[in-house]
Amino acid sequence: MKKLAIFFLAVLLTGCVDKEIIDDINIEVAVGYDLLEGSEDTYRGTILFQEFQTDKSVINRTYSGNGLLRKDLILDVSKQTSEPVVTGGLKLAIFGPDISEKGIYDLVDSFQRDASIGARLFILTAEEKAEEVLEGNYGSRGNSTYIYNLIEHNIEHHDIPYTNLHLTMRDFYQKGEDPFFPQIKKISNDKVEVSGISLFQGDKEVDVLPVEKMFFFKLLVDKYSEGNFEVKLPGGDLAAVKSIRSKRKISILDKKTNIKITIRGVIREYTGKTLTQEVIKKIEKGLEKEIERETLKLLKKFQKLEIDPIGLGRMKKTQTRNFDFKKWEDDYKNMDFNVTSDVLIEETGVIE
Amino acid sequence: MLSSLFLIHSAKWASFLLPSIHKISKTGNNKFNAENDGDFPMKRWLKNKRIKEDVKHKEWEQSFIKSKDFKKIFYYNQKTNIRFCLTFMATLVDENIIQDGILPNLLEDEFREIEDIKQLVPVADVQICDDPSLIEQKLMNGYVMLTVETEMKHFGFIAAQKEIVRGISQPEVEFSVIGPKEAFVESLGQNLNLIRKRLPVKELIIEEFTLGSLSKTSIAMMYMENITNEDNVNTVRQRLTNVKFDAITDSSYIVQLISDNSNSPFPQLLDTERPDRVAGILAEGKIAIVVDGSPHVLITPTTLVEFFSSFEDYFLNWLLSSFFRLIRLFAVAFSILVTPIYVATLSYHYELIPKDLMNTLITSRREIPLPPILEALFLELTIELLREAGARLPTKVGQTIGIVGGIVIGTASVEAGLTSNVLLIIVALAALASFTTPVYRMGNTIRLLRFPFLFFAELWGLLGIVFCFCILLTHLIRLTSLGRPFLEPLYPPRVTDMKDALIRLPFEKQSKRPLYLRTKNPFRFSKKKAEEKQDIDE
Repeated sequence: MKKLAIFFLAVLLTGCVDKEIIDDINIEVAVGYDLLEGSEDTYRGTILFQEFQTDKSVINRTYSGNGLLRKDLILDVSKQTSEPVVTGGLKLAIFGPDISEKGIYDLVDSFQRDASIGARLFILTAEEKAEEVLEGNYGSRGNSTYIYNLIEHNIEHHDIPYTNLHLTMRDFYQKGEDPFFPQIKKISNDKVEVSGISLFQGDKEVDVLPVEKMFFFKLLVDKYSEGNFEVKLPGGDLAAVKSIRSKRKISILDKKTNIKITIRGVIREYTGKTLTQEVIKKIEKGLEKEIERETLKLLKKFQKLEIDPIGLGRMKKTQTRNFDFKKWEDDYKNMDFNVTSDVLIEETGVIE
Repeated sequence: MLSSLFLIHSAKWASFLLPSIHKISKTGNNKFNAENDGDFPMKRWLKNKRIKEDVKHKEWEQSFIKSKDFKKIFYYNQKTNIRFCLTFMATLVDENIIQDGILPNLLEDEFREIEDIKQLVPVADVQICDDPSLIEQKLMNGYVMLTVETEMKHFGFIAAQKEIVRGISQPEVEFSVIGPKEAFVESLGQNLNLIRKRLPVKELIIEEFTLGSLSKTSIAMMYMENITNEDNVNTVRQRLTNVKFDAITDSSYIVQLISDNSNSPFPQLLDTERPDRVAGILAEGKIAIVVDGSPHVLITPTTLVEFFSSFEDYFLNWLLSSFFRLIRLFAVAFSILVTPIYVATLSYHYELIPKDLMNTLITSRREIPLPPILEALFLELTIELLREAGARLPTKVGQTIGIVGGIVIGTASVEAGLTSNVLLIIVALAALASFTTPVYRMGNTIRLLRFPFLFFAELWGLLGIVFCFCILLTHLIRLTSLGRPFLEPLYPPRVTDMKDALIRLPFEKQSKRPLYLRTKNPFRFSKKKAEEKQDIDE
């Protein structure tokens, strides 16, 4: 009897669990934030939903709303949609330029408080308004999937350093490391491209790295990475080098930081005649020099901007007892960098 | 014309009253039959007196004489003129035996007293006793009772059972492509023969019990004397003797009557129709129970994993059979869990659906008016209906029903927008997967288990499935078969027994008998001796 009572109690209590049947909800797949025009703190948010058609095609629908908190946006949008809005499918968060400069922490914070949002969410910045980016029509599988896959494969095989919501939150809370986000740009109504890396100081955007610098940036920031780079040889010939494995080793001393970058690469393209051993050596040397020059430039730039996307402060902290962060900030400004690199071309293609 | 009419008439009369006598009087010597000896007045007088005596039926006869097939016939021996009587149930005895093996000798040879039948009757099973309480049992077992008027206290019993046995056919449920093709039949003797043939050692003990107050079913318990654990044997013996039931018509009754927990959906005794499997498990140290009239032999104690191992696994290479066992394990998990997971995910956990699958799922459900649980229940019940209908109908109609049901109902319900085609595929696959269990009984259990899982998936989503799984696991851990843990070797974990559980290692690695059986002789063979290389004489 007691058992039966417990059983029925359990059954009756289940009225409390909210059901979200997948075809009776609007799943938010991407969200964009801009600053409302003529306002200081109110933002304008845009939510992207996917509407699946019976022929398996996808219609992108965007709804916009204004507010001070992220919840305001969902309330605003819920007034317009036929079904309840849920956030579990969120894959992308895009921030417009004005709001990035103002600070995005409050908005990003709400993502990690929402248990249904996964840690693999990509946070992006946009060159124009986020609303405009989301209102395009990219690909046949929906805007969110398109942009998500675009960023994902660029992280895996190309020059965007590894990033997602989880790492971003770590960077926000970690002293001695600043976050960075990929930046995208809408080039036409059905095309979007990666246009650089937004460098942040805390939660405010301070600079954007152009696409050409991304390879070097990734070498500095990621432990292991793949990437592509072109080397211009003295004779005017061009060689495309794909790094298949790269490693960086950083040792931070009091006044000086040594960074050693090792790259194992293959030559994918070469415009000259024959690719002799001498030429390969030349390419290696050329790339080494270029890497040393460019990464040093980047490091100087970070020093000037007072940001630390590599996380040198974090690394130093893990190695130092009673780490004094105030002192580190001064040290970092006057830090000397020494970058050495070692490039080894392992393969030049099937025709040797 | 007249004579033919008479013939028909008399034939009718005879066949109505005494079908067996009719036959006997045609072939046997009917000169001294009680009905035809009108020549001697003295005898007739005697006879009349005797008939009066005979009419006063004895107590044990009272209910017998109401049956049409009860026969009590008097004969006279030609040489000694002694009057004797054969009593038997016409439906249970083979008349040819009486006619050819018993009557000629009793009528023509010198027959004086009941002891003589041991010389005269060429039948192997001849008994003489003086206990009238045995009469009923013997008659009902197909014996012919012989009484002589001079010795009313002694009864001779001559075995003349009519054996109507189906020929040995191929196993239907546990069919295997490789290996023996014999299956048990409905006769205890035949089944015991099939098993003994495979284990021709004196250590194989057969104990017989008679159970059922009405059915008097013979039940044989088999075990290996020098291997099987004494406690197990005692437990089975005790449980069998404790059975109180009126009619035991199949071994399934015994399964339910002697199992440790009869409220469990899991069968705790394995039933098989393969004599080779029974021989195999007897050698392992398990106990087999053979029930007369049932083509399924019970095996005990058993474990859960045994229900998922087909005997064909032992005919295949260990790599193959391990692979098939793992496939079966996956199939069972899939069959139980896939529909509940579908319901749980679609009702509660849309976040878990990969973004590429979202489109497929949503578009297939777009037009469906039912929530996932009703949709799933509708399809699951349809499949169950098809199965039940298919099982009850004759084979040929059954096949048609399967095809009609599977294709027509499935497609139509998708087209009508009652169910989504994704779920149709899932449910069909789950049904298919449940057929992979080699033991039919376990397949039925799996059919049932899906529904509580569905119920909890609807209540609390994946959490509910985990909850239900915990209940199931608790139940399985508590379950025992003959007092031995049912979940062994998974829990309690036993490495030795793992070698023949989810996977099967080669025979040379399995030198020990299953641990949980606690056999008297835990070694199948000496590993050392097996590893010794023998020289080849040239």
